[in-house]
Amino acid sequence: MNKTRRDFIKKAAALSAASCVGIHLPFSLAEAKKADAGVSWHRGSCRLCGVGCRLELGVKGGQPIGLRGVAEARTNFGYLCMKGMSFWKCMRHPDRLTKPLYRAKKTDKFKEISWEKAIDLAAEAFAQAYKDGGSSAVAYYGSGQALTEETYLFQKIMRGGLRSNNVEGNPRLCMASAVGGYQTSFGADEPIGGYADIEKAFCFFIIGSNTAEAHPVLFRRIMRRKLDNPDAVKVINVDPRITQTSRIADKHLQFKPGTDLALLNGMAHVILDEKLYNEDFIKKYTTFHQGDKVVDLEAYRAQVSKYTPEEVARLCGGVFTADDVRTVARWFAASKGTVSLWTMGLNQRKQGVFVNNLVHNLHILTGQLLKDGADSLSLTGQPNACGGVREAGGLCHILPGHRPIEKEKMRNQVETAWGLPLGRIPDGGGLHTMAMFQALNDGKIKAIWINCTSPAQSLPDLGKYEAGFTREDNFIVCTDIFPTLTTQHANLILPTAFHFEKTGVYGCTERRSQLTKKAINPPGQAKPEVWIARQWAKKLAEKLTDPLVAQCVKDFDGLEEGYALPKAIWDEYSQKLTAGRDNDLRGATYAVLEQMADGAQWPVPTEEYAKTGGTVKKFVKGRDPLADKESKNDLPYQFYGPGHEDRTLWIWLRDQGAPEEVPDAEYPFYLSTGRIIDHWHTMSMTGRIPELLQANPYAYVEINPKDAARLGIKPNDMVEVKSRRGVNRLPAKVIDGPMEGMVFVYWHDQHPDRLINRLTIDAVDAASKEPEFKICAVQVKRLSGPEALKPYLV
Amino acid sequence: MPIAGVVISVKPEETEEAARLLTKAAGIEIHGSDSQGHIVAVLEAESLKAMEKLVDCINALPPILNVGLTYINTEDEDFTKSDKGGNAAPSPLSPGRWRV
Repeated sequence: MNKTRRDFIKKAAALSAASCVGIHLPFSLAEAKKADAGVSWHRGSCRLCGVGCRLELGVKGGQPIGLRGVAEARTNFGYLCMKGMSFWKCMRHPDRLTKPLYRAKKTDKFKEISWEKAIDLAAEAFAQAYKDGGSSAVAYYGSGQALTEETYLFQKIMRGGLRSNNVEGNPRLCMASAVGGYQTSFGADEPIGGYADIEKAFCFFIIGSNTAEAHPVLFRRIMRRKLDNPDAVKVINVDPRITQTSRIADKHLQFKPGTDLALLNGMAHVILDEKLYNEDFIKKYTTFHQGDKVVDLEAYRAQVSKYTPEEVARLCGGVFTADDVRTVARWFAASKGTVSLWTMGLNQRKQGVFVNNLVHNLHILTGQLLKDGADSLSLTGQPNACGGVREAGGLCHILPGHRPIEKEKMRNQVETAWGLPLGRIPDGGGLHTMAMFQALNDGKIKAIWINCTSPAQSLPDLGKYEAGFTREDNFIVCTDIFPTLTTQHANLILPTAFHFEKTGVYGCTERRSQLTKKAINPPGQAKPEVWIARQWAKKLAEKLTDPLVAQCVKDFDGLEEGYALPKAIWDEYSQKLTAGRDNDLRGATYAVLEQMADGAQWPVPTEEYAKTGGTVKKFVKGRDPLADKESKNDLPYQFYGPGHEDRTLWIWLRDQGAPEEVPDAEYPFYLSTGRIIDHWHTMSMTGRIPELLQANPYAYVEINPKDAARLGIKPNDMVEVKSRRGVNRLPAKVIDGPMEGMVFVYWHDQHPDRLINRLTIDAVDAASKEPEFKICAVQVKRLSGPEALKPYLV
Repeated sequence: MPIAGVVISVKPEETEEAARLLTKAAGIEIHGSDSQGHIVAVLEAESLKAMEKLVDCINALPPILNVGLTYINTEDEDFTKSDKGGNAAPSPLSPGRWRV
C-alpha cells in the first residue's frame, strides 16, 4: 500500500470511529472516501455471538480486506469486538473444506468425490435408513449459526419429506431453558424488550453471564450507561466467579453454584416483606401458579417466606450477607427501570427453566417490564439461535412460527402451507438432543445429518457418546467449513459456503432479523447449505419414489443459490408460516431488510411497519401492532402469546432445587465451564485466527488462590481435573475468580487432554432437556511444574 | 500493515491525562475527544499480532476503560497461510483423519 493510500485509509478509520460518538473531525468525507478506491463494502451481521452487531465487509479484487462497524445500527452503533473484527479472516484460510469427501468406513481415509456422487450417497443413506427403520432412523442436528433459510429448509424436508421430527440443533444445549422460561412465565418465547432498554435503565441485574467476555459490545453499552450515570445507575453482578463483568458492579454476589434459586426467592421475600412490589401491576396482569394449580399472592408470600435474607446468605455459601440480599432487592425493585441479563449460568442447569422463571418473577412482581428501561432479557450465544432454531422450527418440539408440534391444528397449518396432505407431519416422536445422541449410541438412528456444529466436542459427558459416533452401522453426513472433531467421525463431509459467501437472515437476541448478502464466492467447490439440501431432497424423492419429498423443494427448483434460492425460501417461511403468529415477519421481506441498517424487530406484519424498525416493546398497545389487534380490554398491555390462554403473566412458586451432582469427600470441587473473550464455541474458526489463538492458545483451569495454596498448586503448574466421567490435564491459572471450592475451565479447546466436556454431566432439565454443563463435581490435584504446551486443532 | 479506527473510553475527568499518555505511544494517532471521555484514535501496527498487542497495551493503561474497534483494514496481510501452532498428533478420538 503506498503512502497516499495509507493516509486515506487512516482518515477513513478515524471518521469511522468519530461517527460512532458524534465527534466532528477537520477533514472531509470525500478525502476519506478515496480509501475506498477499488473496495466495495457489503453490509451484514457479525458471524459470532448472538448480539447481532452490524458491520460491512470490505472486498477488493474478490478478496476480503477489511471490516467496519455500521454506526447507525441499533445493535452496536458501529462498535465491534476484537473477535468480531477478526472472524472474516477465516474465509481464505488454507484449512477450508473445498471438496466433498467420502469414506465408506469410519476407519478409512477420505477420498475426494464429485458433488453428484456426494448428493447421491447422502440420499441413498437416508433413503435406506428410512426404508429399513422408518422416520425414527433418520435425524438432522443443526445449529444456531445456520441461516434461517437453511434451518427452515432442512426441517421442512425432514418433517414433510421423511415424516421425522428428529430435528434438533445445538441451541438445545444453550437456550432451551430460556425458551421454557419465557413460554411458562410470559406465554411466549423471546424477550418483551431489547437492547434499547440499556440506555434507559437504572439498574442492571447480571446473573450467570460474563457479558464482558461473551457479549463485549453489549457490555460496552452497559458500561457506558454506568459511567455516564455513576450514582444513579446500579449494576448488580451475581455469579460464583468474579469475572471481567464484575469490574463495573456496585455489588457482586458470589454464591455456591446451584443455590441461585434460593437467592432469587430471597429477593422476592424482601420485595414482599418491604412492600416493594407493584400491587396495581400484579392485580391487572398477573396470576400465580404452583404445578398445575392456580394459587394467589398469599400462597406465593408463604412459599418465599422461608427464604429469609439470613437463610439465603447461609444457603448460598456465606460469601455475601443478609444485608446484601436486602440491598440488591431494593435496588432491583425501586429503580426507575431494571434490566436483567443472563446466559448459560442459568440456562445450562438441571433447574434451568425454574431459575429462568424466578428471574421473570422478580420483574412481574415489581412491574419492571413493558416500560422503557426495564426488561427480563436472556442473551443468546449464537447469531441465529433465536431467528433460525427457535422461530423457524429447528427443535423437535416446535414447528415454524412458534407452533407446538403436539397440536394438530398447528401441524395442519404447516402441512397446508407446504402443499402436503393433512396428517403428513407426525404428532411427535422427535428426540431432543441428548436422546438423539443416545439413540445414535443404541444403533436406532442409522443416518444423521450434522450441520454447522460439532457435537463431538460440545455434548456433555463426551466419553459416553463416542460410541454412537464411531459405530459403523450408521451414516454421518457433516456440512461445515472446517474440519472439526465431529467431521472426524463422518462418512461424508460436504464443504459449505461461509458467511458473506451466501445470502440469508440471522435473528439475534432482541427479536431482530437482519440480512447478510453474498459478497464473495466460496472457495473451491464449497456450496451454500440451501443448495445442498435442495439437491439432496430431489435425489431422496427419486430413491423413495415419493413425490411428496420432491414437493418440499418443488417451488425452489432451478433457482440460483446465491440469492434467488434463499430469497424464495425466506418468502415462503415469512409470508406463509409467520402470518398471524407472534413472530409475524411478513413485513421483513428481503427488499425491506436490504434497505435497513439493522433489520427489523418482530412482530412486523407489514413492510411499511418493518421500515420503522418494527416492535421495540412487545405486548404494549400503541407500540406493538399485534397488541392493538389482539386487544381484549382497555388495559395498555395485552399478552397474546400462544402459551397462556388466560393472557396473564405467570408468577411461579419454585423452590431451591439441587444440581444433579454436588461435591463430596471423593470429588470435593465444583467444576463450571464457559467462554472467554478470544475464542468462540469449538474454536474451529477462532483457533485459525493467529492473533486470537496466540492470546489464548490452550485451555487452563482457573483456581482460587486459597485452594491453590492448600493443594500446593502454583501458577502454570500442570493440574489434573477429574470427574466421575473423565479427566483433563491443564495448566493452572491461580486467580481470585472462582469462589473457594470451585474451578473453571473454558470449553473451546479441542485437545483430548483439555476437552472439558469429557468431565461434564449429561443430566438435563426435565422441561427444557438442556444439560447441566455448569455444575458437576471434580477432584483437583497437582501433577507437575509448568509444561510447554501447544495449541491443538484438528 | 493494518490500520484500525478506535474509540477509547476513559472517565470524563481523565480524558486529558489519557490523551497525553496515548500521544506518547508509537502507532497511535489521536484525532479528537469529547467531554464524555471518548477519544477517537487511529492505530497502526506492523501486523495483526502487533495490533492485538497494541490494543492490549492501551487497555492496560490505568485511565483506559475500554478500546472500542470500529474499523480495520488489512489489505496487505496474507491470510492464506496456516498458523495452527504446529500440532501434529492425530486425536485419539478418531483414527480417521479428514485429510486425503
